[in-house]
Amino acid sequence: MAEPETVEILLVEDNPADAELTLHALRKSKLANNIQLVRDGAEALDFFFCRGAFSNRSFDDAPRLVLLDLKLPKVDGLQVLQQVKEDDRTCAIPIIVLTSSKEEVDLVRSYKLGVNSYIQKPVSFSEFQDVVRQLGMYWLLVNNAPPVSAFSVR
Amino acid sequence: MAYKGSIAVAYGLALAILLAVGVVSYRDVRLEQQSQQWVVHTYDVLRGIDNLDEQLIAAEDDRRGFVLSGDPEYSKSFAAACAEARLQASNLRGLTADNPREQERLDRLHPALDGYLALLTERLTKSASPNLRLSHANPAGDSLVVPTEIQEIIAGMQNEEKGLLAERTERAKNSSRLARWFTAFGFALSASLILAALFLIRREMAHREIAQHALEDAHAQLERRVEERTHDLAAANQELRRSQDEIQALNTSLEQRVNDRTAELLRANKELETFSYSVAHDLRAPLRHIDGFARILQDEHAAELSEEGRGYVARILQAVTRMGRLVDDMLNLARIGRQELVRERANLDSLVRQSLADLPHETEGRRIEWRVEPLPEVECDPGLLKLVLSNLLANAAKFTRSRPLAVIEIGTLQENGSATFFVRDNGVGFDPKYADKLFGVFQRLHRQEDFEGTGVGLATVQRIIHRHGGKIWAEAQLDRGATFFFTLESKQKELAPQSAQEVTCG
Repeated sequence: MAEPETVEILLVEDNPADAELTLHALRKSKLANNIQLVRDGAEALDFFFCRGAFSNRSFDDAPRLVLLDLKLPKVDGLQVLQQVKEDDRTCAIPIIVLTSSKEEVDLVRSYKLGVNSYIQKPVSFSEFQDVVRQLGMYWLLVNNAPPVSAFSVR
Repeated sequence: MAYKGSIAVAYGLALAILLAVGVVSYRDVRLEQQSQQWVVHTYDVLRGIDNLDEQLIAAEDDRRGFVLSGDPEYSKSFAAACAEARLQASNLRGLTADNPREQERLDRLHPALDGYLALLTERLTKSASPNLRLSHANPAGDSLVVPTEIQEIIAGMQNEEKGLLAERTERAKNSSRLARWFTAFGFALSASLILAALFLIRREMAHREIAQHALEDAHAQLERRVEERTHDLAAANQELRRSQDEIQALNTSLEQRVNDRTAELLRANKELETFSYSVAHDLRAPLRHIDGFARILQDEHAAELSEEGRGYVARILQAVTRMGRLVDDMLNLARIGRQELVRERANLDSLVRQSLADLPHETEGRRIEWRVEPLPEVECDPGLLKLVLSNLLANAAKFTRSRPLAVIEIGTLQENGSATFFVRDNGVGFDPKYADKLFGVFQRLHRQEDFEGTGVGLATVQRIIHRHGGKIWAEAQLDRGATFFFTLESKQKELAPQSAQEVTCG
């Protein structure tokens, strides 16, 4: 197995159409080269905690940005968020909830669990493209990423 | 009452009669006493007359005795008899002073008596001389009887007195007989009156006894009835208590059922809203996909499509936009139903200004005259009320699009102390016969080509106003503009019943 490239963006999305459209928008914005797609909550947790298919990953090699859908099979987005934000090794990873839900409970839960941003997917694809471009610009270029030491224990 | 009167009268009468009888008896006794006195008096007079007569005869006897014997004893006795006769005569004058007839007889008697006694005295004196005594010594021939005149007077007096005696005795007898009759009759009458009174009393007592019995019977009957009624009442009371208990039980079960039903309704309501929310929510995903891929087709593959194909892609994107708006509106509507109402004082003026600021898209490049009256502060959920104003103002702007100068007024009317707000425009209006369809979900009065819209806006507005306990209605004429009125809180309802009503109307 080749030396794994650093994943810049982790996309957690179960719906293939949504995944494809998001990837399309991300690619069009030409911000990231290495985007990892996982299709459910369990797979996402395997990625975060370097186990299963992702056992050869290192915690130090954290993704720059995570786009997390809330409605996911197996383990839902909020549970993923909770586990990631509770763990010292992963809590510094910026996570953006990207969902079609605008329910208040979802917003409140997400923020209380420590989400870094919450975005509702607009219906219009042009608007969505615009949103994706903006958040990529912000989190990958404008924002200072957490240093590697942010992912070690204590 | 009549009996009592009669008895009193009878007793009174009897008493009066007895009193009268007493008085009459007393008078009778007095009269009899008087009569007796008079009789005694008459006897006195008679005795006086007899005495006089005897003294005269004794005087003559004594004179003859003296003449014959010469015994001086006779002479003394003669003088005594004469004196006695005179005394009797003068006594009689006193005794008969009340009788003029006797007085008149006495007037005649006195001279005759004096004459007779003088004659007797003269003869006695003559015979005392011896010469004379011899010549007259004839015992048979020398008798001087009491003269006729005196005898007649004495007899007259005696007769008079006897007559008087008979008359007085008769009168006394008569008067006492009358008194006795009267007494007897009075006693009989008062006795019968008392008997009558007694009879009346007896009768009265008998009546009273009957009345008493009747009263006692009635009393007993009444007591029996009271007892029966008391018994009935107690039974009725028990019955009532039983039915009360039943009602209580029914009420309790009814309350339970109402509570259950309310809970059920609340649950159903919640489910329905969750359902409509997730329907709207889940519709967004495929919509996004359609829009996304169509947009990619349009943006990146336009060259590969024919003119017609590009047209279809454009139509797909238009349809998706519209459906997106519908879904968003439905989501809003569902959210308003679920959302808690947060009331605070809000300045309606500033809410109108904010709503106007959100309208540039519709009002760009148009001539619109906004006439906004100063508006009061109101108690409301400002976020929701802003949604109301935005909807109404956007509608007003939209339906005045065809006017060269649109006039939109916002103001208040004071009616019975509560404010009615209105938004008036000079737009195309609507036919008033469709006014009831105005606030229904997906109800539209205009064609999509003329005026775009989802038919959810006014339904949302109505729901917000209703949640505030207010009313909303519209007046319009076709092509003559429309006015929307709303109130925020009906006077009768307070907050609590509104929210309760909200639960049932959902």
